[in-house]
Amino acid sequence: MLPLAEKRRIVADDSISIIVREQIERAQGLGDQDILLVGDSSCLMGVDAPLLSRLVNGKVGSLCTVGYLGPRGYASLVERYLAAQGKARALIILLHPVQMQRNPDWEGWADLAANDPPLPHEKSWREALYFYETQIFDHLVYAPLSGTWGEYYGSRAVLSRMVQDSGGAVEPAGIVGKQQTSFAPESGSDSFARNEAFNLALGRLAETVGRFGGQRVYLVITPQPQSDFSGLAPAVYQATRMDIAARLGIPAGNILELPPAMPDNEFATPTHLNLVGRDLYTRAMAAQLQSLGLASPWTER
Amino acid sequence: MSFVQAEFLKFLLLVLVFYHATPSFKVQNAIILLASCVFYGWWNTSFLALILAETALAFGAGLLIERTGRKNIVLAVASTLLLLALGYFKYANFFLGSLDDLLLLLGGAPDRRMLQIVLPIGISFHTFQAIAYMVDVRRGRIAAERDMVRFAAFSMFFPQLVAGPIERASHLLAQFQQPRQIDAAKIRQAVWLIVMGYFFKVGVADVLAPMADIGFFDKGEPNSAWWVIFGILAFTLQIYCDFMGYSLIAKGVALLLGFDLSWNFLFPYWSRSIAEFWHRWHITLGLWLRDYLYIPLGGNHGSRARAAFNLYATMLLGGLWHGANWTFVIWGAWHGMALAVYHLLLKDRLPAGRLRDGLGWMATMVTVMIGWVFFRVPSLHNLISLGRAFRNWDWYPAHGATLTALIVSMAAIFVLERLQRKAPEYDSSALLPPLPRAALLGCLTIFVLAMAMHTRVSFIYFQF
Repeated sequence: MLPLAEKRRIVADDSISIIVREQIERAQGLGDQDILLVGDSSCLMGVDAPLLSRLVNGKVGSLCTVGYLGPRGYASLVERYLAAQGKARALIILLHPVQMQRNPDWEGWADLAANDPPLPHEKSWREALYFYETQIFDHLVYAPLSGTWGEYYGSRAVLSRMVQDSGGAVEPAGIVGKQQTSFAPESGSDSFARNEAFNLALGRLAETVGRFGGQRVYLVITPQPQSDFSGLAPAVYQATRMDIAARLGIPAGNILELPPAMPDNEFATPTHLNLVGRDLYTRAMAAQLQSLGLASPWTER
Repeated sequence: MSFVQAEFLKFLLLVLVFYHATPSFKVQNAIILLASCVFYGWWNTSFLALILAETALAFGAGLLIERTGRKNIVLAVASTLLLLALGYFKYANFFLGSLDDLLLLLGGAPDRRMLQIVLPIGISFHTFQAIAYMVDVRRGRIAAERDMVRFAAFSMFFPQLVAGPIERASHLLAQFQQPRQIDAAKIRQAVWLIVMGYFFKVGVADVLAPMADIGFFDKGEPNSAWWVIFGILAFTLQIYCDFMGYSLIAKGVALLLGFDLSWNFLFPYWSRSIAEFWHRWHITLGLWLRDYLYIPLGGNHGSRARAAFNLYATMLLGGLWHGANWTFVIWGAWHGMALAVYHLLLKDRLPAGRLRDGLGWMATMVTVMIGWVFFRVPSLHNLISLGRAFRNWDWYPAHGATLTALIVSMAAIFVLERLQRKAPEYDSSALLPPLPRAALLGCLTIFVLAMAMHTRVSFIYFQF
């Protein structure tokens, strides 16, 4: 018995791929939205899409994932959304500075967003059987996640359900175990340095922005802890935003004016807001969107 | 080899074919001995030599006890040798570590060197069974076995070699001395026991294991109170289903060979007192402790206080039998204290009735669950961390799913045990007509096979 137990045992530390795969699935079935969010984990953990939805009195769908996907991966998610006849009044791209030094090893994640998973009817019968069996047993069996993810979400199924329901996730490190109160400052202005791989990926995202309609696309550079940000010249921050917007073909007026830094105690990790920070940041974003007319009553743009 | 390895099913099939193709029960004994050597040697061939040596020692000692005038000396020497082997493999590092701690307490400088010792699987069970055999020969309850193959097959009988039940020679060895009968009813019951055993092990215990792990995980920071509570509940069910599952598989496999193994568990979580619990939990160990430790200490002869002390001392040693850690000693002491309090203050003093039963059940379960905390924590330090968790009562998304899994598991255990309690000789398969029984067995088998792909599998009691 148990011939394949070793080979097929669920990988415990699998929270990232759960999130990414859920968002790939959601991109194809999300349907029409007023606002569509796409970006890295600072968006996934830092923007409460259901709360934002209530605050702007409209449908807000989040396809936020993790920074490993990068701009090319976000482009693939939006493409999947558009290919499934999804329509949105506005697309907001949220990027954290930490992903701007893109590592070539991460390209596999961007490939995943572009190519995987094939729909069940495209699988061989063995793959399809395994697919459905996994679907069933992930909900029957307690498949634990490791570390704080396991303590907060418990199993894969619960995390999957949360991402399915809200398109977001809560960073468990700020709730379970130690609460981050301060962070060692990182590299000051270097935290906005971008490498060639990132700029190249921006080029791929720019094509999707063009297809979506650049006028309806907005850019957010998500916040850093105050202690990381304090040594940074505001001009660098401003120049970075402008340059990224230009590369993506987003009008300068479509850069959302949100706080570039927030108090350290509103973060769970150096890149992820905790529940308090998430709530405050979402409210600040809602206020910005309202000032731009991206809230009920909706006007066609 | 373990019951949850793919190899085991192939091995069992092969053994059954050769075994039942052989008309002579003496040759069957030899097949069982050979199979037992393969079963144990699959894990470690060096330790197979140890188990064989212990078997030979008990066999020789049994003959000598019967023939010599110095019966007590032979028994003492043979038992000491067996216990020394057990002590070396199981307790050497525990005593060295405790000695170091004592030195540190007295202001000395311990060297903290530990021996690199691997614990032979099942050595505690094998040692206790061997001692029981020798003592029974000494007491004249059984005759010493003269057939080495027969004795070795009994002593190393693979279905119960690594985790019991701890069988008496009067029950199991006697079955090796005559042809075994097997019929359709026995096969039906054996298959039922095996499938149920795998269901409890893989379908319940292994599913609950990660929840218990989180509840008892010491990360050096406060855990959540809910996790600790659910972790204790999960472990309470896990250890039961793990060990009971193993015991059912063992009983079923033995039955396929025509042997009857003792019941090791009979609804322990239905107990209405701690004394009843110990009549239902790990029954063969409880009986061993009673016959070879508690009664020689004086048993219930003398004053109630003396009897309570004997009980306490027995449970303390029973705790130490489970493992070389102070947490097991405390677990034994806790149960010893509970039993002593029950016998001194509660037994026969409460009016019978549903209220007593209900309160008794609750008190028993609380006592047992507190005991499992001592049993499960890796160290005493971990106990303090668990206590600190009760400052945090936040409800996480994980808690809802965990609670659901616990309730479903409890319901499954309740239904299956209720069925078993109603059945003649606890054979619940006899209650179901053939078709529903086959359908249920089929469903459970598919469920277990599929579950096995998704859970980690290993038996808790192998370490003892």
